[in-house]
Amino acid sequence: MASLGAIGLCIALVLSSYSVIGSLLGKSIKIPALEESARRAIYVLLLVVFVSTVSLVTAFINRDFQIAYVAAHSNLAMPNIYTWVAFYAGNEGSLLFIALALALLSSIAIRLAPARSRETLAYTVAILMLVETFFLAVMIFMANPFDTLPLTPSDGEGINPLLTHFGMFFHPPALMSGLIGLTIPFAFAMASLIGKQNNDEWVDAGRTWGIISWVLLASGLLLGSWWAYTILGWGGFWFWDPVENAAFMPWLALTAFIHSIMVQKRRGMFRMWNIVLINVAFALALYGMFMNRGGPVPSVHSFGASDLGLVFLSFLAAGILIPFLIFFWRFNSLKSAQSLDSMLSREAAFLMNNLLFLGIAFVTLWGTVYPLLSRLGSGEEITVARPFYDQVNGPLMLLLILLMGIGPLIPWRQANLASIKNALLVPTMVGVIVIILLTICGIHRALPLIGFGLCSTVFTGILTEWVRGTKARHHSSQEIYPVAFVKLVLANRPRYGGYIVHLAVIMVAFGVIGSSFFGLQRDVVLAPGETYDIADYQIKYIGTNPIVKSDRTEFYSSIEVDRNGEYLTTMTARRSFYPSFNMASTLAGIRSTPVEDLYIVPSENMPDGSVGFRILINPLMWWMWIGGPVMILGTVIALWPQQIRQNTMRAN
Amino acid sequence: MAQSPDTPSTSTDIIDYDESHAQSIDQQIMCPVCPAETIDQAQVPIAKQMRKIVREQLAGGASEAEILSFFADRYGQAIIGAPPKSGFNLIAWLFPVVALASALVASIFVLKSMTRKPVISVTSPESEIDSQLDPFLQRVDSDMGLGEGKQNGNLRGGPTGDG
Repeated sequence: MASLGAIGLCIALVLSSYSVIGSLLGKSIKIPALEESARRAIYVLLLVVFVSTVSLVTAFINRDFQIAYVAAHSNLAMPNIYTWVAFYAGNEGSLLFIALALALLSSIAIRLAPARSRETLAYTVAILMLVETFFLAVMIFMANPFDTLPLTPSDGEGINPLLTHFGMFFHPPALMSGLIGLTIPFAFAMASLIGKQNNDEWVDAGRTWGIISWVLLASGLLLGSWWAYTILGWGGFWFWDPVENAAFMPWLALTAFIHSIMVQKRRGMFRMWNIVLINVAFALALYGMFMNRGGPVPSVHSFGASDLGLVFLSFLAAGILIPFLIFFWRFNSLKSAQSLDSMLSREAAFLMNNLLFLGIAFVTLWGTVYPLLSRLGSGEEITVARPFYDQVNGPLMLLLILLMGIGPLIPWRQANLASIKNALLVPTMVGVIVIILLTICGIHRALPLIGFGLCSTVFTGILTEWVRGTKARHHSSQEIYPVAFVKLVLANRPRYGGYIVHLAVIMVAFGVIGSSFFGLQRDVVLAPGETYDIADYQIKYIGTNPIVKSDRTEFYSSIEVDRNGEYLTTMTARRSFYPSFNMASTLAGIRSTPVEDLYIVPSENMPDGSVGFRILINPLMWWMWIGGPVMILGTVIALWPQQIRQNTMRAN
Repeated sequence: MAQSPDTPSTSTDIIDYDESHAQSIDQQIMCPVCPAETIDQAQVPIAKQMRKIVREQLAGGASEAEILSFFADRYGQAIIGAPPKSGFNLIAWLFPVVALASALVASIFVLKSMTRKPVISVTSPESEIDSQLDPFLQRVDSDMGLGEGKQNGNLRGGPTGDG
């Protein structure tokens, strides 16, 4: 199996190099057949990389410990279901996953490329395959997942216990596909620029693939938060870890991009700016993948010591510098087709949106590099971590929510102040009423008050738009309200899909504000039978049941929960100890309702049978996790093609 | 939902301090041995010990600033999760603000330069939306019409987009 996989990688490298050279050569000396053959090489490459992937997965299933990677990331005790997770648990395997994802996404993107992008498709292919070549070459020459050991060990080292969680089936693949998927809008943009098109040709493909990468990254981030929440055992979901930041920054830049690209799609403006944005997002994505592999900052996420850092750093530098040069070479072709009508317009609002998203990305990057500056500037070692980001990015995010409420209500081209006032009247009033009610209920802290107020304003704003549209449709076509609503949404999918995504963002914000400002946390040690009161709950620790498995001992603690003296539920929380790793993993017991989560995690098992628990009441967390599926729904609606036939071409 | 001073009886013998205040201090102090984690998150013994010190000092009447500087003196400034808002480190806090403000000013200038001379707006179709449904109806209708084609019509003015 090992040799098949390794040979597959070599063939893939030949194919991707051929595809790069063939496309460029075919384009420049005008041999369409060569161009087409180079394009089709992508499909063959996908097949070959897929075979390599299958052979690595098979090696895991057979526990072929002759392969160093398999020996390092699995053992006999590992349940077979985690084979897939083990596949990308380490540096080499994750590179193979990235190569597979890029091959797959490229094949689809090239096959379904809009007719308008056909002119410069050869450049798109070349750029995509250049990136693929890089990953294949790194694997073959520096981090080959199929390297074999001189002696076959009798058992492997096993998978990192923290990774044996349901979320791990989706969180890393979604993030990696999202990061590498950013290559596609980037490739379309740069191809269009190199091909001297008048620069709106790439917009459709750029928007579609930008949104696909966006939703992959967003799901990856949410799933990662969920994983952290249930398994890391401290009751939070995000702590501005350097690698979290590295995945968050490209998402922020991409969010700016998928808004700003609409301005170019609709008005032919912001051409330069969109090229800059997609370049920034791509560079940040490369940086994100670099942070995982020998990055300069220690993190719980990194794959450990790896000498790939320098290679990735060089690729990152090239990925910034070369597009920069192309940009200036083609600078003159990037003039806007139209001029702005008014400062008070959707176009201007989108620019403000971009400013805030890039601002948050910038603050995050700044926090990452500042410790270095401080060391150089004042010689002092300082840390920039969660307290800094919370204080600086928190207010910026509130501003974003504010803008999310106003922006969609401002029409394109030119708005008039009276109409905006009209549209904002009801939502603002609702926001104010919510703030007043909350103040009466005893909430006096400014940030959560503003946060909840803004959330309800945006929510009302979206709702009013839906109600108005449905009513108008009902009146014009005599359709009954539900039908009118569905048809309204379907008739303008980008707009109403966008509203649904906004709604999902409000849900996430609701959860973040609720749990960050109103969470209650206690660390207690309970002996069996002992009870602890927190808020309305009486937590009674029943006892712990240890189950010895081949690689770990699992301690299941049962907890009986009463609320206001009445029996509510019995919860189980787990703490597993892995002797071979000398580490423990926890799985919190969580009772989740739309109002609040009751979260119990055993943090220490004492010799006398008592257990140290961390107990949290996290208000509104439920909304955050529900936000994920709603966001995906909105994205699907926004992306659903209006007319497939017209917009696509048969690439072959 | 509001937090009240609470004295957990079982976790420690120290009494008479505000647990939520203690937690907000925990969240500002980094764990010396676990990357990027605060002592509030980390479950290693040293973090537990440091949490205990925070509570002892709080119970002994120390202020938040005093506790933070106690740890900074002992472990170095890097133990605190954010740079101090003084001296050289003011740069860390001010630079993002300055950068954002200048980006805002710059983008306003760019928008100004992109703006053509204001034309007298003959129609302002959205002004009457609330008082009369008709213009809105027209908008929805035109949305429908446009929606069938390749244009996505949420525009109220109807400029020539490129679809």
